[in-house]
Amino acid sequence: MIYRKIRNICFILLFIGGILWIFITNSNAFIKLFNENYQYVTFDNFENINSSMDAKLQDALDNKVKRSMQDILGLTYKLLKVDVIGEFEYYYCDNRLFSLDKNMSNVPEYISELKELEKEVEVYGTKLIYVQVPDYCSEGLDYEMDEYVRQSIDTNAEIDQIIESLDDNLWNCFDMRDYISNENQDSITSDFRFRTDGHMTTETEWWLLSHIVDMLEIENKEKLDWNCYEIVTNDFLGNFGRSVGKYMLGLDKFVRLYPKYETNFCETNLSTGQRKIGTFEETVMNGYPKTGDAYTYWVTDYFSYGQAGITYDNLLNEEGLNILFICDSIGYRTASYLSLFVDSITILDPRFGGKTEMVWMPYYDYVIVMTQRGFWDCDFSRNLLVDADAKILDSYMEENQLCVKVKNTGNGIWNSRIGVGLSLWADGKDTGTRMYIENGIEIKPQEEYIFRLDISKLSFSAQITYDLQMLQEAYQYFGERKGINDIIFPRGIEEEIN
Amino acid sequence: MVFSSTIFLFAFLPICLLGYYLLDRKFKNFFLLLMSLLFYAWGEPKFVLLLLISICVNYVVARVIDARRDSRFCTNAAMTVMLLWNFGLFFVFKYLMFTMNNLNALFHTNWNVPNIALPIGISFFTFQAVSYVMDVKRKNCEVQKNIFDLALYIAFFPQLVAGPIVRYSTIEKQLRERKETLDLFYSGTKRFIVGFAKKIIMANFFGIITDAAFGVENGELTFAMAWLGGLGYSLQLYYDFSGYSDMAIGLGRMFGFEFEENFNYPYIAKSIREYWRRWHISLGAWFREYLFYPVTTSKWMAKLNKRIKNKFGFKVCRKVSVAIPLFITWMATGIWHGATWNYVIWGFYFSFLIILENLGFDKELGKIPKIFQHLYVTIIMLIARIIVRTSSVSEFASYMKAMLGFGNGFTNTYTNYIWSSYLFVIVVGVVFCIPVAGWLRKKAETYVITNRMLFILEPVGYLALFIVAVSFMVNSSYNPFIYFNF
Repeated sequence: MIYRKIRNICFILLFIGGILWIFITNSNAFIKLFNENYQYVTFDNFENINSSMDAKLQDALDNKVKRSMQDILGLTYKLLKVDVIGEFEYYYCDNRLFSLDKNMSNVPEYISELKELEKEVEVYGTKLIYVQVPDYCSEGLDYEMDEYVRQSIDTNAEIDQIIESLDDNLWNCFDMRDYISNENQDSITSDFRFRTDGHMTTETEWWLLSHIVDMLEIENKEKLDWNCYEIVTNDFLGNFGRSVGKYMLGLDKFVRLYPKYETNFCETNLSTGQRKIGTFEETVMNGYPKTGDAYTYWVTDYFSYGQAGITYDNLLNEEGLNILFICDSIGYRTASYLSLFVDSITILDPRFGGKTEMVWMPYYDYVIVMTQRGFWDCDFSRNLLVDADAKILDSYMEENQLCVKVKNTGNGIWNSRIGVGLSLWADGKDTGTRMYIENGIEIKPQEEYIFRLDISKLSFSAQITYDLQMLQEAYQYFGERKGINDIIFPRGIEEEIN
Repeated sequence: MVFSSTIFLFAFLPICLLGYYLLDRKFKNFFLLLMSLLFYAWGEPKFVLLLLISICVNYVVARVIDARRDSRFCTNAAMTVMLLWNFGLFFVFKYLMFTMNNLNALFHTNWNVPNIALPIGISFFTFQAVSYVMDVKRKNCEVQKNIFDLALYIAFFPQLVAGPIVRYSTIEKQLRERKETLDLFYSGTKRFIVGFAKKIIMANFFGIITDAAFGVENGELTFAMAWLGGLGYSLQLYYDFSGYSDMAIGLGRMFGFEFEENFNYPYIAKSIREYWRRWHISLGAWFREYLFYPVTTSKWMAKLNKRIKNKFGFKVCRKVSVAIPLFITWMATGIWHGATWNYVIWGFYFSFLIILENLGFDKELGKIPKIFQHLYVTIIMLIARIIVRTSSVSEFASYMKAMLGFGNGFTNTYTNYIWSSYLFVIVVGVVFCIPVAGWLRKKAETYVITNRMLFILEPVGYLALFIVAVSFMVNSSYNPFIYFNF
């Protein structure tokens, strides 16, 4: 009887103690959360605040608690032999996780982005390299994947469609799928990607780097030797693995390479204009504060993760190539390593940017586009700065329309996608009134275009003379600013005269 | 607020337990009432007032009935007020939109249909309130003079939003004097953990399976997927609702209350009547007590019986006297579940089956091997689940077609994927919805060594189960209970 009592007391204490322990250890976070959320609570918004509170509390839970819970969750999934993780977010097979997100709806849009790039480099003679990262389902990776999952997430057809669309004369295409077959002597199949993450292992990235170095015809390849680097290996639990903790899949190994030789870089953030000078570790590899445990997301420790555009000037290799590297996080490390071999590299991640991170194509010797699933909804042509000049040839009124004939006297192609238009100025100030090129129309160098403005839509109340100047929206005005002789009759005044 | 949420488990429950056990006895009920109102207000602040008014109305009505028992007029008037208030409220919030929509469709009118939100738990707290007044009228219990105690009975958070429907007579004494014991708390904690795990682990898994099956487009459904969907939904409902009931009973015990059981392994039933004696027992008991018996013993029923007896004889009369109250009760049960035609059809479906069994089919059923009796119940219940889970007659027909093998073939890659991904979960789900654990425990108790091991392993197992369930909770999004919709 006494034993039963002791047992029951212990059980209750453990249960109550457990929930109290979580309550007390997280109380600071909970109180902070409550203060933030209920500061402006009213009877009307009380319910709405409450409905989002649970998810916020889950987020606010102590990291140690949360991670332990994820570990247990993964272990239970494994014991119950459940392959579907969460609500169809990840799929477990072959002791690794796969993202079930296919994201292929924007392939045609993506192809048109590449075409935009082709047109641009055609003018300047920049060389193009296309690097295709293999799909999870590519032949040669040989994961024992469920047939339905294979069919659902296979993007090889879309990849083929993209590669077929590339102009062979312009692009040097490096399709990594050709290299994951054992038939190829230079194959890479083991540990291609991390088991717990969608990114490639350092070994794969380095292997890819050596191929890119070859494609760029860089002669000094000594730095490809790992002996030139201090090698540091850490336990690593990738993004996918975090949903199920460390027991379901185990941990990956993340290899970091620190150059033993002298390096000196200048980092320029294209969004903010900020600059930083330092070694490879201090500039290229200095993304965010690290804890050093398995949960440090080393993948994003390159190229200040989350930035839209950054240029790294290798100050010790000023004779080298200038590279524009368009990629998402799959290419960060390859691009970062590549910075050791070139004069400068600009990494453009269109997922994060707007129109402020402009790049000027003639500056670059090569443009490398590195892509994988999930990158296809990216829009990077907006970041191409037009090498622009223009001449206003004529302006006249046609009914209610002001017509302005302009000639493209620069080297860039004008179109609406990159925001080329004509601005209307009054008293030395841009009025904000615009005449854009019609969608789908392109004005090549030396071609002419007539901009039209329906003046009846203007709401100016006085008769003013105007100036006109070409612009690339949000980035630059170009060409001469010219006054127009015709007098525009604003709405109302014109009616009075009639 | 739901039991399977971080806010409940790591904030509300510890505060509630600490407050309850630190307070003096005379404040305990009031404290529980305040916490219950907070619990309800968390999700539905605007309906707290409605709940409080409902409590007041029922309190006053019961007091009037008790004080004026000698006056038939007063008693009847009070009963009328109570019925009008409770069922009027019930009708306005639950059935008005449905009624108006159907009237508009029937008479081609264009009456404005108000968009009325359903207060969570209205089906449960209204029925509890009715049971209290009815019990007072029948002298099954003393009238509650303390309005706070009555409010606690109606609004007590463990059973407020999804039952079990606790009849006042079963809890009357506990409201006044109850003893919180170590053993009761221990068993309550165990029960809470079981319910929590049932909901968070099993019901949510079966929810994913069910959504996958019912998410397949009409005409694309395979035979294997259709059966998986039916099975998945049956198990989801069981684990979801019985899990909630377990948690409610467990929480009740933590505060010294003993609620009656709400589930008793319904899927081992050998007839539909037996099934309903095992599933949502408190609802069945409520309808039996406050609808079936009153209808059976009503004057109009007696008159009807007399007429039928005179015209068709005693045998027919006996059958009709059972069939009519059963039909009314089961139609009401169907409509209680929801204001849709699905539940009306569901009501007809079960009325027919229960009447059939009452008229002698169960005796015939008893003659066949038990395995076929179970199979009969399983198939009947699967069909019932599909009736309420599908959104239209054509969807139901298409689903049934697939179940009969006339869908999109036997299986396909998607079906295989879902089956293989969740096979072990399905096996575990099926095994634990029959009394295997109890049987194993009994076996273990017969041996000294296993009995001693069990003494230690049982609490360890429960704690491990709790930790696993918490790991599912903190890593998942919203976990609503299906019975919140009823």
